[in-house]
Amino acid sequence: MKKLDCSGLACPKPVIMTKKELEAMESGELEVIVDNDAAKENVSKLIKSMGLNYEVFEKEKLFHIIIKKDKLGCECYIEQNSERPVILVGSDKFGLGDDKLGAALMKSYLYALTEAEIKPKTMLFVNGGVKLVIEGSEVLESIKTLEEMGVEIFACGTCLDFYNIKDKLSVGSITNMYTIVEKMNSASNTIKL
Amino acid sequence: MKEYCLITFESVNFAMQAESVLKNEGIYHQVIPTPREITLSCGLSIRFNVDNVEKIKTFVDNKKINIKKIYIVKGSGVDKSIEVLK
Repeated sequence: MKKLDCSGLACPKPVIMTKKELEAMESGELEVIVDNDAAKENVSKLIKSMGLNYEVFEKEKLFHIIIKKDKLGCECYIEQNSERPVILVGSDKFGLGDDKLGAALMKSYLYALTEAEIKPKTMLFVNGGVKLVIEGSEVLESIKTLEEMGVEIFACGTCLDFYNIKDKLSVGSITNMYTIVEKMNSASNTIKL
Repeated sequence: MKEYCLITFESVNFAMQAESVLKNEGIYHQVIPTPREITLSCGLSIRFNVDNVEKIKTFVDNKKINIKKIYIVKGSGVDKSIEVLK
């Protein structure tokens, strides 16, 4: 059995290392060793989210987590995928209030999203939100990064048409309301910005 | 390894002012949330390329922009190191 000694490591390192190891492993058992309660809890949460079975025992103040991965792993991956949120971006500003602040916060939000561990499954840009995915948008780079990382980017065609910027779309693809409804209804969690 | 500079500010208003100065000067930059390693509050910082650090320092000296500190950030995620430059 493979061993991963994470004792002495600060969070979230044990979680990241366990995740990498489990993803690289086709099947078999992995023993993860951590030295504190928080790391034990966080690693356990990760294993549960991946749909795998595990056991924990304590020995000489260390927690030993034994994880079993069988070849059914791929099904769990789909399940994990569907838990990623769908994000509806309805404006080019983040939050209501001052527009300048809203624009700055949107830049900050999209940048932070590129660094987040859990990425959204889909991002839907509607109404004023479509201004973020066109030529000259100041957040184009963050949105392109998200797309490269596997996030589906959709812009509402009616909206691009309304603002007369259909030819300026620079990231993602054009979609219609039927797809928007489907994406939102099949998501376990939709976040509206 | 990824390496970039970061300016932090005393207030969000200074961050937004600095952003418009950099935009007018045509200096590539990104508005990003201040990394948790620097402060836990929901602050805004401006990220820019290391090559532009001298230009930025001139803006600071000429009071074109009003900053708190300049940092250099190396790496990303958990293996990030942050040092104060100014």
